[in-house]
Amino acid sequence: MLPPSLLKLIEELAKLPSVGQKSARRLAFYLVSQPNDQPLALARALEEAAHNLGQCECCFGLSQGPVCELCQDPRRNQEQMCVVEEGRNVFSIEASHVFQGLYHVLGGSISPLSGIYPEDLKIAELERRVLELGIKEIIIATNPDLEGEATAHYLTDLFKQSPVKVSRIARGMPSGGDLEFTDAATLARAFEGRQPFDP
Amino acid sequence: MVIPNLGLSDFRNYKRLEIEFGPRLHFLVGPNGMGKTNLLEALYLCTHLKSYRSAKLNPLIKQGEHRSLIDFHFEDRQVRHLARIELLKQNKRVFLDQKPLRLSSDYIQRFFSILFAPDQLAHFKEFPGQRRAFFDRALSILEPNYFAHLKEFERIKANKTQLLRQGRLAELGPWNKLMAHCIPNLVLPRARLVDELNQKLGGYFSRFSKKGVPLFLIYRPDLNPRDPDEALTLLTQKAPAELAQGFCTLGPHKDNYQVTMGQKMDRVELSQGEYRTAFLSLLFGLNEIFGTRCQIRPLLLLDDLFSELDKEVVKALFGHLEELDNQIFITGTDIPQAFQGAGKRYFVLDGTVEAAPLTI
Repeated sequence: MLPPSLLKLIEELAKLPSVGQKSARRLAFYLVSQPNDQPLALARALEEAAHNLGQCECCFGLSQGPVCELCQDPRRNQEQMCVVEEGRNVFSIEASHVFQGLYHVLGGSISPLSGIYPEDLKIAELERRVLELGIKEIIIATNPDLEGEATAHYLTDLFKQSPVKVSRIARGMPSGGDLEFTDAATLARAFEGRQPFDP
Repeated sequence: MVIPNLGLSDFRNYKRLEIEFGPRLHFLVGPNGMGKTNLLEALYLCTHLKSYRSAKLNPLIKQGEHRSLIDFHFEDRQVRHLARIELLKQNKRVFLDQKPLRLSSDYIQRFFSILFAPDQLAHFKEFPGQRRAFFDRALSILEPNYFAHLKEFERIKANKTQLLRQGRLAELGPWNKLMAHCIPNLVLPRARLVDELNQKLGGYFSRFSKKGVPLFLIYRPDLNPRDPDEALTLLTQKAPAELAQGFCTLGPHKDNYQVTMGQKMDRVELSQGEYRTAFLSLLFGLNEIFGTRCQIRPLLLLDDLFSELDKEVVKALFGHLEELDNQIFITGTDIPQAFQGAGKRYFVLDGTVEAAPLTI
């Protein structure tokens, strides 16, 4: 019989995504076998993150404070807005250094089958921000799956009558990718979206 | 595909069976209710990973047992594989070359059985959905990406249906756009296959029936747009009506296939024997297309083939079956005169199968 504290730790770890019961047990045994300061440092980091991190009041991305650093940065292009599904998507785009504008996080994608409708996402807030900030271009960077595409179509229709330019990030072959290991659907999209080559 | 051996454990009325097959023609002979069709069903499972007689797994497992095993080798493109299908009451597991198969769809997009069975013929004749499913399954192998497009369409339809049920007309736009883009990916391959089949049907039908009447398969797409834009216009126009009904009333899921013979149309006007001959012509035409398009030789599983066919048709069938390279399994209570001396014969009696002497 496992000690109750260890059992509780395993059960909590098993709630994490991609962690099953076996992995949770392994992680728990590892943590309790370490010197006290290491699991406590992890516990403190978790506590701190839970206390300090929240949703940015402007873009609804992840923020340490009411408004995130990206929204506060006056050097960013105030006329372009990139729309993403999740807060973590912001950091992926930021890591590429290709976009210098503002972000808007929808909080998911439209999926009637999963009971997610436009009113469940931050779409009304997007309309309001675009109007208030005088945004000139919206770049839709929702995922290239069915729900992401439906959301992109919905947003395009929404801004059809406004002077705002709406664009969608391109789809196709990943940079440095290998044709041999690319799935058929990605290759098909890459061929559909081919462009004149002018080096 | 050729299956040189098959092992069954606790499958239907078979406690344990080990059987070897040749590369061509086989007869499974015996009185009714002895297990001939069960054996054919096991062979069908080897390519489709599901039964054509039962959607549930439980009836496939021998009474009183908790699982069935189907073990077999198969040869595909000169490579020999070992496969196991384990049927449990609630789920099944498939092992290919001793490794668990992660995606059934990868398997069923490679292998195919052409089945002729009384129940399946009745369903094909009666229900448009069965006919769509039949051709969709074949197209999943014949046309690259067809299976992915079909799954995509079904997902779009399910999302759209959810919106229609909730009366959300204003939100249909994105899903209609996605659907409009998807429709030609299904309609065009379906039309291509029917065109190709129609070039072959006449030859087979006149060979089997000796009638000088043309046989055609007609494909009636519910929507046949020139391009996705036209499909979108039609879907948008129909949206209020769909909303009133509460489900998707327009699209490839409503397509129909019909058989015509001269002036006679489909199940209403064709006799049982005529429909059987027409269906056999269709199956053999499809078999030929599998060979020419993708060098695949499906298993031919012909259950109770000879009933309701006259002697002349049976004789013509024999001539054709002798010419084929496929591995063929035919069940029957006896073997017609025309087939005497041909193929390997097995006598099926109450869950046992014995290789029979050449003359029964």
